[in-house]
Amino acid sequence: MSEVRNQDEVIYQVHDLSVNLRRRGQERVILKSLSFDVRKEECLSIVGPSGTGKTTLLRALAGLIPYAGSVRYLGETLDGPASDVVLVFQDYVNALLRWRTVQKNVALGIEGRIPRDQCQERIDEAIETVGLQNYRDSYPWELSGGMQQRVQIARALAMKPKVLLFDEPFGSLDAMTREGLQDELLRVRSVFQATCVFITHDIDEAVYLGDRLMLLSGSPASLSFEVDIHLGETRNQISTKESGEFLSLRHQVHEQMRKAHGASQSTN
Amino acid sequence: MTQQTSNTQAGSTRNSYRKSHGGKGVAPLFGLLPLAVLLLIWQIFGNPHSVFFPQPNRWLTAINSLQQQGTLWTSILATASTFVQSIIVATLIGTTLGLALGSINWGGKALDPLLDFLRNLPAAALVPAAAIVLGTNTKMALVIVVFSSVWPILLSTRSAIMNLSPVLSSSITNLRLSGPRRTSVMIGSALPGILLGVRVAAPLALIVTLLAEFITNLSGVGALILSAQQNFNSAEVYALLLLAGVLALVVNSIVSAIEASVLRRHGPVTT
Ligand SMILES: Nc1ncnc2c1ncn2[C@@H]1O[C@H](COP(=O)(O)OP(=O)(O)OP(=O)(O)O)[C@@H](O)[C@H]1O
Ligand SMILES: [Mg+2]
Repeated sequence: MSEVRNQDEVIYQVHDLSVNLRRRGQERVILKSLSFDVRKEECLSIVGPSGTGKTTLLRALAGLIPYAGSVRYLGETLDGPASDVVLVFQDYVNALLRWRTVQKNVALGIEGRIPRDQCQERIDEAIETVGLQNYRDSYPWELSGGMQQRVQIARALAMKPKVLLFDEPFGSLDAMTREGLQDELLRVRSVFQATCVFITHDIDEAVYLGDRLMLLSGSPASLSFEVDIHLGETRNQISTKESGEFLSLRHQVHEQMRKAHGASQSTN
Repeated sequence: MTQQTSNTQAGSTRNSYRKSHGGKGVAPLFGLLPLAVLLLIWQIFGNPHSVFFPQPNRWLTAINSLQQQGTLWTSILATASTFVQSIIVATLIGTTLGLALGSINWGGKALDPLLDFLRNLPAAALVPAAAIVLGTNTKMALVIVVFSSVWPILLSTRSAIMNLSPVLSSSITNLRLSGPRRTSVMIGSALPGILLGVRVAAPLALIVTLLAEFITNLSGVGALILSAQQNFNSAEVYALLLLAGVLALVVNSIVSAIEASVLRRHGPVTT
């Protein structure tokens, strides 16, 4: 009985996941033997240095690349693009369709799949959630970077996905815009109860947004540290980031990252 | 205006070609000034009795008499009709094949020698073969013109599809787009490349249209040139040469205008 309920609470069960990628005929082990769960409606932050394999991990969770080991999504083995799982890319310029207006971009994932009036309702709702109601008919290239990233997030929200996979979504934005979008993401999450996996190499961002944090490091990459984050439902850029809990988490993650880095250097 | 047919050239011209549309309203006409001056000098200093170099005013007379015979406009129409039909068919075929070849993950690279062989076949050499198979008719002209002008469109489309951003391809898969929706997203993204191909193909199609008429004596501007030459009517030859030049200019500006209006929604070129 308790096992059944447990199943319900878990979105992803990843066991012994490995990914090999081939480039110019050379096969390399990118991810080695990762095991973790993604729980329902949590935001799991994954931090790791550049080039460790964070994007590769997200692509595996989205079912875009072949893997070894076991990934169970909603209790079923994942083979092929996962449904109700939406990726949000750092590269919003290429993720959006430049010839479509904001509205039409947001419609991309749902148009033709649900009745027209319902579709329009969802589009409007998603656009309002990210605060772009005055830019419905603008083209992405007419908007700032932060606004374009909002369009991509709205496109994901309109699909009402079970899981949102963020791949360093704010990585190319300036600090102010970035903080604004982080708060917006927290707010959106309190409205749309989606499960999130948030990937970043910014420790502060990972702690600020996450309910749980994992560290991905080494080559091949493995999970080296995991910690629960108890910062409460409402978070604030200034006070939360000055709180003792935040600072101590930040300290731990930094230390672990340095340790992992030292370890990977001595093994190489 | 010269255009390189080479496919590699396509990528590098992409960044500049849309910018160059800025002052297109005035620039080409203004740029024709040296030609006008040359014709004027020819008119003033030319020999009124020259057989090989008739003065431009005699060209006008020649054109005028063609018009009175009623052959001028029917010929222009015949040429235009072959040209327009061919460029449309070539665009459809080139885009479809380019899309198909670009989508398979080896990019159809193994077919490159074949594609290179086919696209380098001289159109003039194809005419006899096509005439044997299809007979000397408009259908044959269409086939020849389509065959010669399809390659830039095909190759440009293929490379545009192959160079689609991996982030876009991942988005397409992640959003589970399939069938016509997937195709339309890919075509939309490849549109600048496709239109660049059309831009290169259009003058080529016009040249081959004239050539086909010239060689087979099908009705059209090409055939008019041929008969003028056979009648040693040099003024008419020059006049028709000028006409062919004007047609090329018109084609070019129409294609540019279509391109500019289609790509308006794509915004300024980045990268
Ligand atoms: N198609 C591929 N074939 C082979 N190796 C690849 C391929 N794609 C990425 N890699 C390699 O896999 C490693 C991990 O790449 P990945 O993009 O997952 O890293 P990342 O953690 O997302 O990095 P970043 O922080 O720069 O985004 C890198 O060393 C990269 O060179
Ligand atoms: Mg990455």
